[in-house]
Amino acid sequence: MAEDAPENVAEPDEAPQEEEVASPPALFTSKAALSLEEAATIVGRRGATVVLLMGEIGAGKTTLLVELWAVFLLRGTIGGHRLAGSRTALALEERAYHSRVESKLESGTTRRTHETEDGFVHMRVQRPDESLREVLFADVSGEHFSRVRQGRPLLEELPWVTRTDRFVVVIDGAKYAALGEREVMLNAARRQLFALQNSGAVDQRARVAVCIVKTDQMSDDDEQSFISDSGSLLEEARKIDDSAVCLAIAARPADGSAAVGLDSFLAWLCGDDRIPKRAPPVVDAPLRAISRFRT
Amino acid sequence: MSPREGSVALLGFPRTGKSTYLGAVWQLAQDPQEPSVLELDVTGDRSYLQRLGDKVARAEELGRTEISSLEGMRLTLRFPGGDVAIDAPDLGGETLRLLVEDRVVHERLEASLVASTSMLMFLHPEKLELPMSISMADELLRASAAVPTPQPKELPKFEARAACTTAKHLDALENVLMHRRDNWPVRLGVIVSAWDMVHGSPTPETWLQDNAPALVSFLDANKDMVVSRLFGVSAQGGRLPQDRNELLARGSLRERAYAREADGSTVSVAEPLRWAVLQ
Repeated sequence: MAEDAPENVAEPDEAPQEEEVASPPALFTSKAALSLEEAATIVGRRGATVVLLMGEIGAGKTTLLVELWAVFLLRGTIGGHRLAGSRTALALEERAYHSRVESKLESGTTRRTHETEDGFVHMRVQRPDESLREVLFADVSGEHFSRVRQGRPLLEELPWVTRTDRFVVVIDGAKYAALGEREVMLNAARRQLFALQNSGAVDQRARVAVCIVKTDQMSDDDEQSFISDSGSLLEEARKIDDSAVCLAIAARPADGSAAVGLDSFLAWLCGDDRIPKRAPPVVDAPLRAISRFRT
Repeated sequence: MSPREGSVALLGFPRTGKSTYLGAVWQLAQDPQEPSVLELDVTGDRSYLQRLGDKVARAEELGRTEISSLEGMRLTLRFPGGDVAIDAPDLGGETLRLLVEDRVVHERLEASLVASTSMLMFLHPEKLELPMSISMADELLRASAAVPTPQPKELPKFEARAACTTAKHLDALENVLMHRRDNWPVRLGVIVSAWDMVHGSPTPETWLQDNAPALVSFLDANKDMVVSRLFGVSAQGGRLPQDRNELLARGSLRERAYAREADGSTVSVAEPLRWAVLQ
């Protein structure tokens, strides 16, 4: 995770250490995406919502993240949710920059996230009720999810996944609309849901969404087909989270119009956790100490 | 009765108007007809402030403040409402640039933050890099699609200086406010400098909402960390050097410099400093 995150991100709740004259003064933000350990130190006392965007290479995970950031910067608010800060503003800007540059080279494409760049980016969001949510987005390479589809257990691929509060299975709407790709896309999404079911890694408070992106590249017929197809996906998703939802997003409409669906996405993301119905399963997972994110 | 003491950290990227503001306040404090601020006492060398004040009085542009400069404002001022012994070092904008772009907390910035009881942050309306979403970039691309551009073999590397102004300020504010976390909520005056350069007739509030909405939402949403107030300040009264003769013809600095509250109402140029140290 974020091998080149060199900065001395400080623990906000710790008292400053004495006699550290030789040490450089602490920075409280990071230019790069954060490792899990850095994310734990950066969030502080409020606790954080950890979001995992799941999808294979090119599904639009980073595009979704970057457009969320860009719209926040441009408008300050999305559906009553306001951007209240970020400890990784520059890391988000870097992702946005690559997207802008690449969109000039090949319209509508985003630079792939490589495994060496896996990490967390942070946004502080004020909900319409004015409470604040610290949101940590895991921005990880789609290669992980390709291996999961090929049969590798999710917990082996991403051992920290037990800490996730929001699982978002991302489906590329443009590929769904392309001849011959639809079934592949649906199978890939189904495999991610099966992997979640079988992992035992989903906390009972966590929520699951199936999210189709790039809907601007789907015809009316494609949308009707997806409404039908999404039924079986939701059925699988609701075996994990009985309140699972399906969201449709056009984060970067091809006609240059405003993003669609980001408001619903944020409302779901920053909504309350599920109320556990029974004791959570015991999972032998490393980095359990990150549970101190919760308040 | 001895005056209160206040230390103000002047924050802003290079050439955002910090020194000009100090020079203008100093100059106004020398003017016996200016009711908003009066100099009571100066500690130490006043030559630096005098140089700044003279330049502002002559409607001359100020150069970039050296990072190594140890100068600034150390004096006692009388405002309506009370007397304050103010320490406001003229912190070079390079210190904030180093923090955000090079990830270095310069010792002068650190010292100023540790000592500060309040902060003034400067934004220059003509040095604003707006965020651009991918869809906007695509739209521009389509508009210029008729002219094919050569494709570079390698993508240019991201450098922090390419980040938009709001993102840089969010990064800076997260850092400086965390440095003062023992004193939350921090009093932060936000000054849109060179207010005469703002197009149209917005209020400072509507201007900031239009140009940096995420900064507005940051300040509104983090009231446990920061208490803020917004001003538009024209410390020279107009554009330099092109308007110099016209500005000088108007009379003294008192007659040409001006400031606006967030809602557009007129206040003294010294009001941001008074608010920062006195309320």
